[in-house]
Amino acid sequence: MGVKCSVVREAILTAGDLYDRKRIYRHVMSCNACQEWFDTLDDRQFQESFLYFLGPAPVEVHPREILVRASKTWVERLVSAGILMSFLVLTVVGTLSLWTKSSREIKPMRVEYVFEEVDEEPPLVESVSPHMTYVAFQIEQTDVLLFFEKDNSGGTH
Amino acid sequence: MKTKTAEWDALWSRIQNDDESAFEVLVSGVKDQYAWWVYLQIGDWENVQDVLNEAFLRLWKNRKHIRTHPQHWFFRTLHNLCMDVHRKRGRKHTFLEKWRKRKESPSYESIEHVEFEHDMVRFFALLKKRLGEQEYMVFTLFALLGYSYDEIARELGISASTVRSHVHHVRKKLKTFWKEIAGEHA
Repeated sequence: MGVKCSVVREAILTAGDLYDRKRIYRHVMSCNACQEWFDTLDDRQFQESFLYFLGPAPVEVHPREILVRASKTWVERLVSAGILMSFLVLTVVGTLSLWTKSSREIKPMRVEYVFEEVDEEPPLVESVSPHMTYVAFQIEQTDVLLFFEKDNSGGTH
Repeated sequence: MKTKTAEWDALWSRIQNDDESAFEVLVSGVKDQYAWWVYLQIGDWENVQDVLNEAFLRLWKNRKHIRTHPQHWFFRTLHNLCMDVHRKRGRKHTFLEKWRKRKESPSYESIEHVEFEHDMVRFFALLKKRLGEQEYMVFTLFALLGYSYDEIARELGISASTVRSHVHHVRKKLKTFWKEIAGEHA
């Protein structure tokens, strides 16, 4: 493996970084002499050597952050977790969506038309029911049909 | 060289008196070995990080109420959190996914399904296959957490002599395991 046994053993006993752990471990795996030597380690040395082989774990555990987290009240934790913020955002979005939905509804509206001079034929006015009448006429060769609702007094709107 | 238990003992009374620096020393001193142990239980680092942070948070919050040895309390908490991770995973799996995995691997264990990048993790996966459940647990507590025979015996409810015999048995077999792994590399 290109690593001297003595260097490997020194690295294991002192948990040194002379060579990377993987090379050290692979040497021990394949070297009979080092394995014989490994058998002679006492329990404590054996345990330390395993921790050395494993090396630092790839996790982010910061005691200071844990202490800060522990000191927060439940309200602060909710805020930091974004739950309150999410709740507020959802409330705003919900209100907006309700508002836009209601504004999209078609509302009845009263339309008033003012007839000015029309060059074409005079408008044809006919009643289609006691409550409805319509006016048909042409503007620039386009047929226009307007329906009007009669009110109780007989006027149209 | 101080044992891990001695480290706990030395720092715990200070932690109980709200000494934050003692807590920081303890976390920094033991997090790696517990992280590896948790990783061997649940098999993915993202969950390991969550489990460890939660366990240390609970340790600090409960510092005034813990009546057993803190190391024992912490280990139990970690173990329970690992079980929670397994339960949550179980709920996430659909029936079909479970059936498919069982069909592929009758002896399904999460650790056997992860992609092993590290030789030592592959080594422990091999141990898990080759050793009995109790023997494997004894060895991980001994080699990863640095527990003494008595501490392991107390943790698992078995005699110290049984622990000693398990450890010696595994140590004798190490050469065989290493040869097997070296053979895979060749």
